[in-house]
Amino acid sequence: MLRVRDLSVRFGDVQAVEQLSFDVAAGQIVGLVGSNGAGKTTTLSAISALVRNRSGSIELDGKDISRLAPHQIVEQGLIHVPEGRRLFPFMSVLENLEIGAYGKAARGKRKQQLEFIFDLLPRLAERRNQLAGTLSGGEQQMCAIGRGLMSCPRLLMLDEPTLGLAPMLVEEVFRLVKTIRDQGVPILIIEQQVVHVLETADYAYVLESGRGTMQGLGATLLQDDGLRRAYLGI
Amino acid sequence: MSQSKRRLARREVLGLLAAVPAVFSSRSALAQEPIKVGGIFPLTGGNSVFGNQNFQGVETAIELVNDRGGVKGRKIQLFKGDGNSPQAAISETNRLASREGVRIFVGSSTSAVGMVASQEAERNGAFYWEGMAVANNYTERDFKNVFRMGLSAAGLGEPAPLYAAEVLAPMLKIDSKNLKVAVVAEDSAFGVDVSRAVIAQAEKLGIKIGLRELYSAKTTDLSPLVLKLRSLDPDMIIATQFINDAILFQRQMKEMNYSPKAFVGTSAGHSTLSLAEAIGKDVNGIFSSSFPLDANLNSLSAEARADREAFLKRYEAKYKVAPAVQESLGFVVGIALARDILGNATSDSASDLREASLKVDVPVGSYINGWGLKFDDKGQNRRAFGSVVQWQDQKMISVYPAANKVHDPIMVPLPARNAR
Amino acid sequence: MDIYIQLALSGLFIGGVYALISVGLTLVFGVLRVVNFAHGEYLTIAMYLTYFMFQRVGIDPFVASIAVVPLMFVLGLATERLLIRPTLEAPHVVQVFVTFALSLFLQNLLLALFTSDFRSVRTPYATAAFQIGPLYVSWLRAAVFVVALAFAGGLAAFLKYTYMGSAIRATAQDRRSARLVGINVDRVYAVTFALGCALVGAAGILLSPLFSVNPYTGADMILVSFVIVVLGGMGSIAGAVTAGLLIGVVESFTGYLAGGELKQLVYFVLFMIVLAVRPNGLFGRKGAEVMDVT
Ligand SMILES: Nc1ncnc2c1ncn2[C@@H]1O[C@H](COP(=O)(O)OP(=O)(O)OP(=O)(O)O)[C@@H](O)[C@H]1O
Ligand SMILES: [Mg+2]
Repeated sequence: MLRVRDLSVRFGDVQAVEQLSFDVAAGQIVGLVGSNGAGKTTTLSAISALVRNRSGSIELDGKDISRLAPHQIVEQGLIHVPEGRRLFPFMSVLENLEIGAYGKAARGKRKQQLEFIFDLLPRLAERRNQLAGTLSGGEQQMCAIGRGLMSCPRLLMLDEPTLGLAPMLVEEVFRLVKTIRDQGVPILIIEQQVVHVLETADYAYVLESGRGTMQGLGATLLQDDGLRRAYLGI
Repeated sequence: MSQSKRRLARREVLGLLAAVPAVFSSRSALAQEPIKVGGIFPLTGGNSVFGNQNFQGVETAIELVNDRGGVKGRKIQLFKGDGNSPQAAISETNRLASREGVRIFVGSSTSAVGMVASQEAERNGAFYWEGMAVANNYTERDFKNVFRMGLSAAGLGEPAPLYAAEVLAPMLKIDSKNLKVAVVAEDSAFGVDVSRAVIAQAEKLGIKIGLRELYSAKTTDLSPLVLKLRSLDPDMIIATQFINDAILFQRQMKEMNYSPKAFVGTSAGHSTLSLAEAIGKDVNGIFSSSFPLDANLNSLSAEARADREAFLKRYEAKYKVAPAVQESLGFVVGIALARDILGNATSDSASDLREASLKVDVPVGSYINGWGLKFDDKGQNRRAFGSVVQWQDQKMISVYPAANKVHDPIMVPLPARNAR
Repeated sequence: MDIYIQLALSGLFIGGVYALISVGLTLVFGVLRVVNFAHGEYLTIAMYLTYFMFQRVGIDPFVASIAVVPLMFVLGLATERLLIRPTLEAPHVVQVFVTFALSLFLQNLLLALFTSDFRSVRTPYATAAFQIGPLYVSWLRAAVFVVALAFAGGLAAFLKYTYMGSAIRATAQDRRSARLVGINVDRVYAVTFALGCALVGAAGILLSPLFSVNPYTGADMILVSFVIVVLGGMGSIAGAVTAGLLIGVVESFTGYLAGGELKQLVYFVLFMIVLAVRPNGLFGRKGAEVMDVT
């Protein structure tokens, strides 16, 4: 579905991503793991065109999307849920969700998508009129994912959705990720919770200083000694 | 020995060089060298209405003098300096002095500009001819080469109470000692100085001032002031206002259905055509003590009458409207500088112009507004007089003093709004 | 007592216009993070447009608004495209420089075109008033007040209930997230800037039967708007309206009780007090990334 080849991003002197290639196939959860500053966020931002000084090819279902503006990429059904939630703090939960369906294609399905999300995340339904800025961290994350889902995505990219959450909530987020995959939306997920991702992901890539150093099935990578030493301290 | 020889040779060369123009073109080369005059006026910015009107008047005068053959055969070249703020006035004065070699300046429409531009000219050893700035302390600075042909704030404001006591009080059938007057003014140096002069003069005449109120000319709502006036109910309002606030004030008085028995402005807003354009017939009956607009023809010299005719013709041809107070003032200032100062000075150096200014003695009635020219030791013209105009049929008509009067005052007391 | 009611009325009326001018300024700041120093010149331009339509064609200012407001909108679009957009990523000083230069340029352009003479729209109803008991109410000022608030209310409704409105609010709160939900942020900027111009244009139209215009009118009027925008909380529409009305009333009362020369001083004191107590302004929130319309 998503095919990235030789993606490179530079910020002045910093080569944030270098010659990175990876794929996300339909029905998959794909993990992108790496330590702080490895270039994970930059990779997602490059795909969603928030970062423009990039090279390489990015294709969605065989179509080159590297020249599109961010809002056009959203129209293509490629949704990026950013690191740190980034909700609209002075809008209610409901408004945040509704604006998730801003793209023209999604507008018509707004009502039914909203029902679907409230079903999936009943807590959001309870808090629909609360200002998003006043939600708890976990609720904010749910709202951010919900906002992403409102646009009826064909592929969802999640940037560290468990950042700063309690272990219980982390479990909940990963359950949600699987549910979404099972609903037919493939997911590209970035995580520092390496064990969790590798357990959940169908396939995973390891990123170090902007380069892809390893890849494989989640379960296989979990067995890799080098990786275990580097990320799990085992 | 060799040294003295060299010195001699140098002197000879210099002498020869000096003789060259005389030999080849006799006097005409010198005669063609124009006299450079720099006009420092606010040509852009908030006060540019007055600046442009003044400048147009000066320019018309210079053109007239040039067309009549110039000053002793030399043309006057007028440079524009846009003193749209005091800082700009300084830099423009310096620019004209250093880049264009201007040593004679004329200005300035507002005191803020005139004060600094004249100071800068004085510092540069140039000559400054002031026509419009009215600040009372303008001539208190002991400058050598700065002369004010026009009025001081006192000269501008004083005719208002004089006219009130002499003419309006009897027409209102009120003893001038019992006349109740409210003074309102915008709060820049202009309004403060002039209103102070008005009050001082009024008190000398025994007129009671019921209220003195200052406000910012940039204000958007004068209804609080109108309310105050209504509850005080003075017989007469004497107002020092710029244009926009003058218009606003008139409109809001009408809105609140209020009118004093007589309204006397002291310029600047009450002596411009914009006022009539803005309020139409409501302008009728309003007086304004101001620089004179016009003079009674009988009080003018033959020369002044010819000037007047030439001025009106030229101005109307060029600008398609009749000149008003500020334009006519500019003309007088320009004519006086060209004809009576430059024309009588031995050279156009500042010191010779100073000499000529100190000596000048032009009788009253020699300029189109009835003025003459004679400076006191502070450099203030003693033969400049304020006058009073009245809006009649939406035109300004001179009504005071006798030398300027061309028509009797009407609408005293002010009739109901629909009868104006 | 009557006089105080009269003062309050006068203050509210003029405050309504202050509010309308300030709403456009605060909107543009809240969304584009650009302080538009040329905002006042758009007021001037609208006043000239209204004046010429009245003078040459005889169209009443209130009717002229049907043409002038869209014209101002288009002018805003053009300005955004040509001058603002290229500087959005640049440091703030560059934007300040650009809008400031635009302000001077427009002043001088208007001066060259129309001279510095004051022009007045003289409508027959300019000074018509009705009386309720001891109160004098100017029809025009009352109408101007109502229309100004209607425009401000219309803007609030637009921001609250339309897709574009939501997009504008979202962009104000988080540009990056706005992009990620599919908002064309460049278009939001263009529309917002144009709306700001249209609103100040509406204010100009409403002011033209009340005040004379020359090239510097807007620059004079706009000063109080900067105070109002900060007082109300930068980026806050509700704040701009409240602060606009407040400043109007405060000016009116100090004009009467303390004399006109103290008016500005008093509201600057008020300003300092409010900012000492609420550093982000009456309705402002930290970070100033606010677009509340409630
Ligand atoms: N806008 C930017 N300008 C300059 N350098 C940047 C910019 N954004 C990211 N970088 C640099 O690029 C590198 C990769 O950053 P990125 O945010 O992609 O890391 P990350 O893998 O997401 O890290 P984390 O797990 O901490 O979120 C870092 O060295 C970072 O400092
Ligand atoms: Mg990151």
